[in-house]
Amino acid sequence: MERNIEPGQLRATVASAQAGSAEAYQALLNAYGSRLYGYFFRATGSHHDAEDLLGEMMLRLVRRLKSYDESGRFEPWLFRIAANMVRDRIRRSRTAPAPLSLSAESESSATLADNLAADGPAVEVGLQAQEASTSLEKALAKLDAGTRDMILLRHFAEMSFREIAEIYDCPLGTVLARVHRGLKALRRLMGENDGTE
Amino acid sequence: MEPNEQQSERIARWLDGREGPLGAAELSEARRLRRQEERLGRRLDIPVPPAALAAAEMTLRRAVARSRRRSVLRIVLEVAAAAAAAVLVIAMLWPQQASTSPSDVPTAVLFEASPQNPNHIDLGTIAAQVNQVKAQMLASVPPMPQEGLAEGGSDEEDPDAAWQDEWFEELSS
Repeated sequence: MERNIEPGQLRATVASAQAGSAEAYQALLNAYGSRLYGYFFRATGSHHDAEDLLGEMMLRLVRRLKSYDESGRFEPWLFRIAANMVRDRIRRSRTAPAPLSLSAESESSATLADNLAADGPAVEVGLQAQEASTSLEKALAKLDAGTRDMILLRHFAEMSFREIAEIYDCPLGTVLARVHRGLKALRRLMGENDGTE
Repeated sequence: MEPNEQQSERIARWLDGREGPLGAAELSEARRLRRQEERLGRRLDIPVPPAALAAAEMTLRRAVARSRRRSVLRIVLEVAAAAAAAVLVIAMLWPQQASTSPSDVPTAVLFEASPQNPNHIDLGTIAAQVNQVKAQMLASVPPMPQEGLAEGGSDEEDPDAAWQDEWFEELSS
């Protein structure tokens, strides 16, 4: 998975994209596509929704990139849009009468990802990895949406606690406490030790 | 350790890279949290299905092309609007400029004194033009009959004047 794009190169790429360069947009997709997809998948528990959201994210990127101010970091700006999309999607899925659950927090215990996984080829990962991934998905699904999102943003967007606190408009200590509790809950749900090695 | 609000804030700052004074227990907790995040991170990463990436690429290409078309259309519309505005201004100014010929001075005076052209107001020029117009008007007006009598333009004898002359002669004698 791609991690960091060198800051100078990122600035130049973003500037080119703002000027309308298709190659620059392609470079941004290459740099952040995997992380965005991973974030969407872990947040919704569905490959189908992750793919759909990644496409929608590209549309929003083209529409909104001109408003990006270079004074801030690019990743938090990008993932803030992604986080809002996930929130909207989960909100809509709660009110939609669809029989399949999209949200990890919905009443049904089986998520759409579970159903897709059960169908077979839709999820393109090895069986072993799939099992591990499924146990992680189930554990993530049991967290409250906010805590899950904070943990995911810490990893995929590499956001600082302060940046997350700004997004959620809450004190810094609260973010850390929620992440701390979330990680503890994940370990418990996945049957691991508490990591006090 | 279950950090309280203040400890959580200090640990969060430390993990954000803003070094601060941490107690031994807080430091231990911060390091443990970091390890846990790293371990979870390795499990969270997931390979992107090529089909999903290809679909995103296609969406991106279309969106960029659409954005470019919109930009071109916007430029065309802006140029067209500017051209239309220029034509309108020329159309509005044209009759006024045409009427400023030397043969039609009164209109020119009104035009120059108009508040629509505040930059052209020059009272001295206007006064001179007004005088010029006045002179032209006076020159073009035919003389009135009364004015001819007053100036003594007639050789005929006035009967009243003759009577007055006789009356003065009687008084003086």
